[in-house]
Amino acid sequence: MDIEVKNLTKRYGDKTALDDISFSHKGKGVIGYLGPNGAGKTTTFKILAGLLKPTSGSVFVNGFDVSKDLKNVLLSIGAVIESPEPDRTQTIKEALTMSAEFNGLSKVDIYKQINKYGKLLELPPLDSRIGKLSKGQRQRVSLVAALISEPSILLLDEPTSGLDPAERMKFKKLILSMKKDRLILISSHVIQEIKEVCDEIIFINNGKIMKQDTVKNLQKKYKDLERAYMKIVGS
Amino acid sequence: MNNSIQSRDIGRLSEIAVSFKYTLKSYLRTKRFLALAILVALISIAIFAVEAHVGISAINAEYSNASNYLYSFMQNITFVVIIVAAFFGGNAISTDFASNYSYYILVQPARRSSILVGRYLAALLASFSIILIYYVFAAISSFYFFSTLPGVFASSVGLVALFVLSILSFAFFLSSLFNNPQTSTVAVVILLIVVLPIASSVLQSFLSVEPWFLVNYGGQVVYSVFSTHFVHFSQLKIPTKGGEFTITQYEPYTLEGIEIMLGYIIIFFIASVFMYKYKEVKG
Repeated sequence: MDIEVKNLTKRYGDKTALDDISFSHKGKGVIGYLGPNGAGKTTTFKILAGLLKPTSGSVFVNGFDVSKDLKNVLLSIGAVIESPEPDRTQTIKEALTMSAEFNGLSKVDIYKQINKYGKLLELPPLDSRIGKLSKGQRQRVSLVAALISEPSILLLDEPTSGLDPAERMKFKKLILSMKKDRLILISSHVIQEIKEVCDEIIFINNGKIMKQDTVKNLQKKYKDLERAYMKIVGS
Repeated sequence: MNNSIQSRDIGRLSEIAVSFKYTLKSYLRTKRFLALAILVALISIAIFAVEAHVGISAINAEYSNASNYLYSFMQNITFVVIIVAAFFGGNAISTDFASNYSYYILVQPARRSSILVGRYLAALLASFSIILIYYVFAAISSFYFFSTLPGVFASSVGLVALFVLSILSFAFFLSSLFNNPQTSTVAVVILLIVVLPIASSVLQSFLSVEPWFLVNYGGQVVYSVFSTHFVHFSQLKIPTKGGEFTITQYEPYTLEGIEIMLGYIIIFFIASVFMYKYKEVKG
């Protein structure tokens, strides 16, 4: 399980969203991708999931080039980017089954996985229509869809947005339980939300990578992560 | 992580099947499916009821046989096809990019082309099932008034399937140009109901040009197969003060109509797949 971003640039017309960024990580663990709003976090995630094309540079996920082999990239990741919304006419069960079928799971595994993660994330009754769910409930459905095929890499872009405090606590527990055997890249602009789950942090601002280091080193150098954030990213 | 569970490539056909299954379910649940089915049924019943009550000879003296009758009855079908297909195809791509659905569907390990083919087939089935209501009433009317159904009726059903596919291809392509499903659906309806028919009339009547490149022209074969006195080219001379004014009218040959529809199916569907495949989720 590895992610490698090499000299990645993304421009929207005159605006540069990502400016020649590079970072990489090999092996399991949780990587925090931290920066203020508009720093380029979501753009990076969208490129990693093939939703945007890079202007230049390359991105490899588990050795697969996102620009050339997107299918294999998508087979090895689960992604929750920008509050995904399943088809509003579907039931929770249908939305999750569709995702599992695209991932090639057998009927028995689909049933097992929906039950497992449905209970873990306390989903509403599975016959509830997506259109009737709250934003937080839809977010949890999307998270189950991302987890259903047990991907080795998880991309979670601001995953706690729309969740209430109790749901955030549950989410933190879930991340801690999953980090043992997965690589999780999680973005946030709120350091308090991810500092307890991350092993390593990448700071991004104005489309540039400011620093990548382990939480241990950052704490040793800056005493705490809030101070590190202020020093590296600025106010 | 559960090691016994692992994603695997299910192949193009299975991807298409999954996309088809869930899109069709979604279409069948929408109010527009029910509304369109009821509307088409009501129109068909209304036409039949009026004709049965007044008598078809009172409506048109030329209704001397089933073919002539169906030639006239089926002239409304192109309008019905355009409305129905516009509603199922007009937002086929734009809907992904208008809502956060793209963040759900486009991160699934399925080729975008497969997702689109599945949607296309679902839209075909949903549209065609509504169109068939009209055909069922056409067949009932033919049997009721003439106790027979012309052999070309089956040809017309086949041709209308091609017409639905061509309109869907065109609608899918137009929907790829917009990021708002309402705008794209309205654009499809206006273009197919207003702009193309006007263009077709102007080209024929005033410029004497056969509009062989317009899908609504090609689609006329759906009812022209019933014609018992088919004329490809006709001119009507209207005397004016300064001389005379000529109005030209074309009717497509069946093979020509098929070629036009196939052209639209292939060109616009390939263009739709290309647009969908490379469209970015900017949001």
